[in-house]
Amino acid sequence: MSGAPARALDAPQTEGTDGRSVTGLWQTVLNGRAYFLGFCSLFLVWHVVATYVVASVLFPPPLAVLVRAIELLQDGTLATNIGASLQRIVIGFIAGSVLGIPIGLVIGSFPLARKFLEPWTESLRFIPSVAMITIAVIWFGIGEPSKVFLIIYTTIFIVILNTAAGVGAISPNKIRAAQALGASSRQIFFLVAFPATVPYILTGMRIAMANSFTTIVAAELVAANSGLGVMLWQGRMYMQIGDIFVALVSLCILGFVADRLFRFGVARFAGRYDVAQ
Amino acid sequence: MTLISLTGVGKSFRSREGRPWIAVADFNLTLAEGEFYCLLGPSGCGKSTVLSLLAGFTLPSTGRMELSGKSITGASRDRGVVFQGDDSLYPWLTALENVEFGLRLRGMSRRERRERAMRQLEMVGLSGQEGKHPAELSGGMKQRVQIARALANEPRILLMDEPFGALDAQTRGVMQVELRRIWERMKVTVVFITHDIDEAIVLGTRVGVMTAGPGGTLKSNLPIDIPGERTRGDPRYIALYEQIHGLVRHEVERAHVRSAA
Repeated sequence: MSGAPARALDAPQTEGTDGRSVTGLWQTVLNGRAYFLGFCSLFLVWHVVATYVVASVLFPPPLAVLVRAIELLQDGTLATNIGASLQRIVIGFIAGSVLGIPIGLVIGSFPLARKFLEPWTESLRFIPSVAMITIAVIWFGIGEPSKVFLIIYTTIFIVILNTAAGVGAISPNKIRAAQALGASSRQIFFLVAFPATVPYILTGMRIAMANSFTTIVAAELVAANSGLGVMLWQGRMYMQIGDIFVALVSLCILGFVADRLFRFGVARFAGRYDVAQ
Repeated sequence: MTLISLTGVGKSFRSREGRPWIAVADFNLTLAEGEFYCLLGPSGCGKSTVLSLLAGFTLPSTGRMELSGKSITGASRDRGVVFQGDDSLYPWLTALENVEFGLRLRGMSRRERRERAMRQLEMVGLSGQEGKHPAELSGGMKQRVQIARALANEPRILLMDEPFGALDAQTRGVMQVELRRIWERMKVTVVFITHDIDEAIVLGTRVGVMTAGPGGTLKSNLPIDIPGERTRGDPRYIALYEQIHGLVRHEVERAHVRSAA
């Protein structure tokens, strides 16, 4: 056991974790290409089915939809409707998260608060936000407030539940370590409990974002002046099949982009978190 | 000089059915400053409970615990803790930020705490790894971060709860040598919980053997007066190993009989 210090200095290298390998990079490129091809196949199948199998004006091929989309873009209808839907989602989603996170933290941190608030969350969360549309319209009218209310309703419970679960999942040793380092309960909350919960909060928000799209379309179908839901409804009324398809494809793209942005954000801000925990 | 004294310390819990469970009973121990005390015992004897009491995470049901004559009433930064698992590290912070954590809590300036944390990381052999997050570090390196984090806070005593228990044998051997070297340099008092007799003899200046649980207590204390590096071929090592092995085996057998009855 002589010469121990020298061996010790070498130790970190021998214990080191594997770096990203060349094959890993190649794999990423391949995956990216497969992903792109997957999208292409989606449009190809659509085109083949619409043109040769169904061959009906009720199922336009992608190119016809693209042409209609360009028209709707040029006269400003598409942008107006997408903008209206997105604005409602963003406002409601942010408000729901801002309200839900502290409530979730409180429920997760204090058993008494959990006992008191759980009847609220555990009963209200089973009413689908879609079921709340009629009463929301009666209460808040067909303008913006009813939509924002519905998105808040959709968002808040998922965020609360995930946040509370995240607080509950903090390993006691994280708290104990902070105590032994001299942390006050305030410091433990802000420097340990909250950051440890962030991955759970972000997961809840991501699910809530997806649900917000469902809710907003349903709400706009029932009562609104603008939005993708309105586009779908009017398309039905005036048999504008092209408009319906433009709205559907817009939802695909918006949902996809929103989810990707969120994932990118999560990876950027929370990638260093051990999400596997 | 006496640093820590435990007099008649006992700890009992209540089981889910409400029956009392005695984890530790009538535990008496005096620790001098600068000691490397290894607490050894069969699993379930309550040795981790003793550490938890020393750290102040739980309070004793009976008896008195004092640090430099002052009663221990909770966790405090004069007692640093190194846990067995890596779940005590903060995965959202880098190795450096983890080590700085205690210094940040008391509002030390950024520059000063960075400097201190870097020195600490260097001592545990992690120079160049300071920007990595725990998820990017191996098990041994994570334990090094834990040790650095505890020592950066300059505790009067370092409490270690089977810190190398989850490491592979190779890494564990390296870490034992490292810890011994750190202890020699820092002159910090250490309480080290283990169930590994070899580890206790290689590391400690004194080994305490506990009786089998429930209601484990200190059975005997043996000084390890082998100066310098300990080699496993040393006749003193072999004699101590035999002696401690006898004590522990007796307790394991007793625990066996008790649980079979």
